Amino acid sequence: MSDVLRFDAVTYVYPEGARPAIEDVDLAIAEGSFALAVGPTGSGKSTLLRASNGLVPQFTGGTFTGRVSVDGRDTLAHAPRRLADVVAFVPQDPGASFVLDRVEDELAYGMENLGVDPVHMRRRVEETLDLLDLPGLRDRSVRTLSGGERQRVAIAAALAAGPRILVLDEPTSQLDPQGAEDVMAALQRLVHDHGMTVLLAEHRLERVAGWVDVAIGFDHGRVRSGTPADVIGHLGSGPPVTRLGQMLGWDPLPLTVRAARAAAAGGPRPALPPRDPARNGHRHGVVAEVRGLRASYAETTVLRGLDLDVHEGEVLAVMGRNGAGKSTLLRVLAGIHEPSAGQVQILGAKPRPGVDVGLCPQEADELLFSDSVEHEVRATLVARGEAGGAGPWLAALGIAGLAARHPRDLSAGQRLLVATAAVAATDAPLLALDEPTRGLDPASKERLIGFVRAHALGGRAAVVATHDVELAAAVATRVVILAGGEVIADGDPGAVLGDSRVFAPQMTRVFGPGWLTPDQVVEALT
Amino acid sequence: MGDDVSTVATTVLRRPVAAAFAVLAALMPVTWPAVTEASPACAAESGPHAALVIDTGAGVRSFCVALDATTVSGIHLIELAGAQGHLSYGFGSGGQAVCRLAGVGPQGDDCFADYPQYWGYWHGDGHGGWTWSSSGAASARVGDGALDGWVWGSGDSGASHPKPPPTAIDDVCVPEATPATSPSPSRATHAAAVPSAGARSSASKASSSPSDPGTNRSAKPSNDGIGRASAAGTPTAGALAAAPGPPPASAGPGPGLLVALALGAALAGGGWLRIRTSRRRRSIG
Amino acid sequence: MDRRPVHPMAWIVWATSAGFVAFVTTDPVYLLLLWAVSWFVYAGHRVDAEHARSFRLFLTGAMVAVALRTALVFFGTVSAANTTFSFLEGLRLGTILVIFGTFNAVTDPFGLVRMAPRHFHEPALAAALALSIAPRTVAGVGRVRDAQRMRGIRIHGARALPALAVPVLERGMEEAHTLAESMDARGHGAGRRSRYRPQPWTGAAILIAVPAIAAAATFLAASVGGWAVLHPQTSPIVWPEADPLLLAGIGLLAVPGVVGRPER
Repeated sequence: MSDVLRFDAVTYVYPEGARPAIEDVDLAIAEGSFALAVGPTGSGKSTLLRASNGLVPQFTGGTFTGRVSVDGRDTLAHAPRRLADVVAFVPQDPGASFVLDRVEDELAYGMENLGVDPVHMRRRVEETLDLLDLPGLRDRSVRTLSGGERQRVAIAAALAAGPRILVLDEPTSQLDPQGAEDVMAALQRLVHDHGMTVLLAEHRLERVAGWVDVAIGFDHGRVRSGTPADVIGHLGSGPPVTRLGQMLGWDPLPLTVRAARAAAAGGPRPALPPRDPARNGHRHGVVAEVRGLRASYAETTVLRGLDLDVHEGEVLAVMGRNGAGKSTLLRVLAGIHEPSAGQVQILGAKPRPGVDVGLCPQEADELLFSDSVEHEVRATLVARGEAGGAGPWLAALGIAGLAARHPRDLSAGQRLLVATAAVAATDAPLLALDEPTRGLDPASKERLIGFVRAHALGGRAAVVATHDVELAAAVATRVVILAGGEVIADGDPGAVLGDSRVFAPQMTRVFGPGWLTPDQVVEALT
Repeated sequence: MGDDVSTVATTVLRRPVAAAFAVLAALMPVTWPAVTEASPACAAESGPHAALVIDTGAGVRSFCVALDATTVSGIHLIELAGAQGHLSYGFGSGGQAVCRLAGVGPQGDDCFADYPQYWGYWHGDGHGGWTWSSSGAASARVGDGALDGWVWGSGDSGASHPKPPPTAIDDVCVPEATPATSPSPSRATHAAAVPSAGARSSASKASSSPSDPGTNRSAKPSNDGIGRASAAGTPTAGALAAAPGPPPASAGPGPGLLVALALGAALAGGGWLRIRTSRRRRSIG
Repeated sequence: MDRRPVHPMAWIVWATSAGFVAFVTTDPVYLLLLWAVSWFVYAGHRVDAEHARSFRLFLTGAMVAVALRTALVFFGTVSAANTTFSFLEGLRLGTILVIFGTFNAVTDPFGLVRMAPRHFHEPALAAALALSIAPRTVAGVGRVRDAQRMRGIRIHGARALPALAVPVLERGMEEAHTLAESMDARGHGAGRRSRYRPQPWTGAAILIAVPAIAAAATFLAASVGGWAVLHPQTSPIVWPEADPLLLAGIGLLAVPGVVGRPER
């Protein structure tokens, strides 16, 4: 089997970069591999992905040494458009790459460019629609699709062009657990049954670690490829089962729930944990009260008759499938979206945005406009007439060291932390985070979790809308699941997540309901 | 977007210059036409001006003439037009009578050498009407805002001699709503008294605009283009123009205006209804 | 009516004809009727909120253009005649913008790019990108304003402008950049293109294009013929005229409002 993608001593420096984004990379991806690029943000994953179809350096400039060849073609000798028949790239934000209006047309676009004859095109479009479970959507406008549907359409569009290698940048970032699993299953089918080569970058390893057969670890621009267990095991920030295995000294390290169960079967079972008083969320005063809430978004009714309370000291995780209404709920709580019926009160009064509730939007970049992290936080303080400095807020999120940096120079995860700091500086009783998941690497996730829990302990409350199960398991003191515009589950995380097949964290799947994080398990076992 | 890509790529974007360019580019389509359409400033708006209209029978030329005194004689007005607007002229009878204008008329001292055709002298009332001059060009006084007209034709008095086309002072000395082809042709066309003259003058007025160096023709590129186009098609244009165009402007809104109003209301209402029903349809579905 | 989408060329014909009509006249009656016609056609083919947004953007731009052009009169002498003249010129410009707004709202700019001949692909793509930036920027403005409100920064007044402008412009440029990149990576402009679905000339398309051509021809004849009704007098100011034949021409331009409606 030949190598579909080869990197030979590749070093690349961005036009304004101080040091190389990728350095001395030697890599060979054989045909039919299912490869995973993993590492902290800023470590060169995206650069490498974009070098595989020539976007780096042909679109970005900079200094490039070495050779990248796709299916034998040198990426320096061929324009990206001339490589479109062998390599297809799916960017992180699928919506940004849609060219046409109808799903069907979008799928055919790549083939049109390659001059494929219409009969052949029709067949391919049909096959690809089936492969990704999209036939019902063929007539729809891409603008009306949900995030998960969009991601599947983007993958389908890339596939339909019939490349030899499919390159995907964080393909499950917008998907709920079920959607992510569907995508990974489809990709695996492609690899196993159709001989496709797939290279993807992903942070949430619990979703992908079990599917891939090659892993490429990134560290400050240098790569190390090997088996997934080998590479991920060395990372220190793998999926929960792997971290558990590392803490308990399991060998071989498990990457999947199944492997973890097998490894755990031989050892002692942890006793059920006592109910963590902090997680209990002592029912102190009510911070937010929602009664009979009905709300619409884009002319469809999203929330129907919702009742909800948020108490002091609580970190509430709002979960649900894509399109369940999580974002709408947060926006209503924040006071920037008018409900069509029902009542929302923060501390007994109608919510004032930025005063009673601070909401960090899904796209952190929508907030950032200052030229330094410190100024960004100060902007919030100045807006509410607060004379103090940004220091305490930065320290609380562990980014004090970034105070002088320009926000747009930071990694995506760091930018999210800056945005959170800027919103937290409103000092509002209720802090709301809307799906803080895209680009969030494990290190930033840790800091965020720590901050949110500390924030709630200070007599306030936090609401986090997310479909990241592990995030909810680690941070929440209470979990609410939305479906069909209503609350279908509400209670203690152990119980709610433990009861759900879709939203169960890995620890639950291994040890049963009530087990949420590896640290919890380890503590119980020692 | 790839994290490390966007972080570095946007360091370029964040420069205020780039942002300014983006804003400018977005505003360009709107402001560019507004800026480049020539400002309708007249050549020289200050000081006394008078208008001179010359109808040679084959064409009409108009001049906005800056006076060098509070009032000048009709003769001197022509001289000034010659100096400012390159009007060619010839006087006779010892410089007291007008023989030749714009290349039409007898050479020499006898201004009636081509009798019965001669240059008839009219004074405009400023709103399109003309009065046969009771005095000769040498003794007529022309002041600020006055309108002098000369027509080459036959007819011994104002009753029989052809008039210049209806012209207002603003047509000559101020930027017009349009150049050549506008009010005059329609008026001329329906000056029932002289239909042939009307057709002639509308066509000829169109043809005169490109060649007219007239100091006060403001440049309206788009319009001039159309003016010239109509000049090119002069014979047919003349015929079309002579054909019944719309009726002359009346004192108040005409019936066509009311029809137009009704049509506009129907369209606006229909559109609004459409949007409402489509919105309702969507929220039900 | 036929469910198939209307051939984009029909819209190009319509927009060009309507634009030509606006171009040859300064009569406010016809021009304002063209605003009503554009609105009517847009309403008939409006598909979703994003189209509505882009049309509103052009409507606003048109009114700004009228105001700016009218204000230019202050650079010269100000009189009722001059002001009216400036206003009519502005109105003409604004009418063209509104027509273009309708055109942009009813067609898919990238669908048009595919129709461009090969060598025009690059500029056509740039134009399509530019066109798509405007509504996306408008959407972006709303989102950024909300985001800043949520942290307590209210956007009004010039001092708050960076908080709005910087994220909007950066995201707009980034999105356009990503789109251009991805189009190229998917092979745009690489070689001979094929067509997935042929665009037939449906009855609806013909009903849109042919009356538009007729309307343009009517106005062309009137313009060549020097019809004064096309350019009402501004000195002295008189009531503008409306000739029945020309009114009928404008009516023909409204036909798309009742044919070829998308049934989504």
